[in-house]
Amino acid sequence: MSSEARTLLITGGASGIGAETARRAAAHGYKVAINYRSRDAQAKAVVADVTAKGGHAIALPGDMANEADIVRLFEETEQALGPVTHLVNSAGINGRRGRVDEYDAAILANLFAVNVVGLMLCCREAARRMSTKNGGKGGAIVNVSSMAGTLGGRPGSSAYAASKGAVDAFTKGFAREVAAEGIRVNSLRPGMVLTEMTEGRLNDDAFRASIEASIPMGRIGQSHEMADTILWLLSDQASFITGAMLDASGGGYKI
Amino acid sequence: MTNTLLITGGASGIGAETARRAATRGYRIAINYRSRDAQAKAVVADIAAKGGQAIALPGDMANEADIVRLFAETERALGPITHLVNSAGIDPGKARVEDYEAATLHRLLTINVTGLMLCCREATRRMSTSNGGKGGAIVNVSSMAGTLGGRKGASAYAATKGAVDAFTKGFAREVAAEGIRVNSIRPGAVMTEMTEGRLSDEAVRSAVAASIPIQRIGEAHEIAEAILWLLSNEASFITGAMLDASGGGYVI
Repeated sequence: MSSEARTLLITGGASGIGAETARRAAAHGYKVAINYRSRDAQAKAVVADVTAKGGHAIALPGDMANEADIVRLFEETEQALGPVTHLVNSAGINGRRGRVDEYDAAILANLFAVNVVGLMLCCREAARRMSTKNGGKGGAIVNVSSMAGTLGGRPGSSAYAASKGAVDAFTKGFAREVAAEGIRVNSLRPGMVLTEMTEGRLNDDAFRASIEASIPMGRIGQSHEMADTILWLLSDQASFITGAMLDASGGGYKI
Repeated sequence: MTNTLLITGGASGIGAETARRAATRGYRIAINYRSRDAQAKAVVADIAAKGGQAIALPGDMANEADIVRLFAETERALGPITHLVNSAGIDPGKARVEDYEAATLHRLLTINVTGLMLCCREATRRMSTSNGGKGGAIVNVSSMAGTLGGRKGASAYAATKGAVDAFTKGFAREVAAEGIRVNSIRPGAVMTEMTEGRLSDEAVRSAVAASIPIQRIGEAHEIAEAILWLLSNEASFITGAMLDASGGGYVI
């Protein structure tokens, strides 16, 4: 596929892991569609960065909690950049950290609408286009999960962790379903990585030091380390890898 | 810095393919083998013909003295060992538990588990920044058998790979702050000298392929690419991970 045109759609591509993946993917020759919900200026800045280096990118607004937005996102990507061959589901929210006895139903509903249902609908749109059963030419998908999905997350993160556990289980089943139809699907499970989702907490020196002390490698991860992993999983070098969960966590948790 | 990669079980299958591809990426390679003398030398010749640098070193993973000597000889010939792939492993053949022989089990565990652990010991003594080393990266070749217990009659083999995975997780944590990354790769059914006896039977091969979601057997080069990526600096935050390279696992 490397000699053909490759079009990569990244949800949540204006910041953090998504944005870094967009920048590096463009340097690898992908045409990139960067979806965002609210970070209009940031999305356009990533597009400008890519364009300045001779790459091809567009920014497309769309809320992962809105099915019509998702359908439109795929259509607009295709119209502008040709068939979608690769998808990175990086859009995700934290919800609100808190103990279970403090849960708010609306916040939980929105968390699952974005992190789980939105991701599944993106996979639906991708399968409709990529599957050889549907006349497509195959493709590759990476779902950005989290180490939280493995052990339930740090204190107060159980709901977020649950959404990532759902992503992993879905990825395994979906990967089996489309494995013989030319589509590979894998999850990446980042540990603590410095992004806009985490920087609020990590700017607190004491908190940051306690997090670093809990990671075997003794440091926080960087977005580019996740982006390189995502791009490798998308590449043809990973041709026999589907349904895998890859931990990128500096060794997980000290126990 | 010059990278020196030691591959146990490097004369055939996944190990040999990893050696060939690593050499084209600038690694100096030590290819360990037990009995496949001519094959190991053929891999070395292939690499040398393409301008790479490789040596072949005999050594039995069931023998501690062989393992210690293997590391010493690699270092003497190629400089400090920066990367290690533990690919040596045996498959004792299919057997039901009621038919197990103690000696066969001991040999299986000695090679697939103890030998691998002793290689990791030797690597840590050299790579760990706590021991004056400059860090490094290790990939242990495990198996999907370790996740679900393996196909029929493969429970003992599966147990050795479960042991490799658990060891990899604990070892990775132990040396994560000492500059060493350690990961397991879990191949599914892949065409190698270990499997070709069974897979050359057309009926077995098509039954196995039908049981894999991607509907085909893997190739050694697909596993080699995953190993080389895990060894590379692109995987800098990945340690203690188990990477399934299985075409989707099992159809269920």
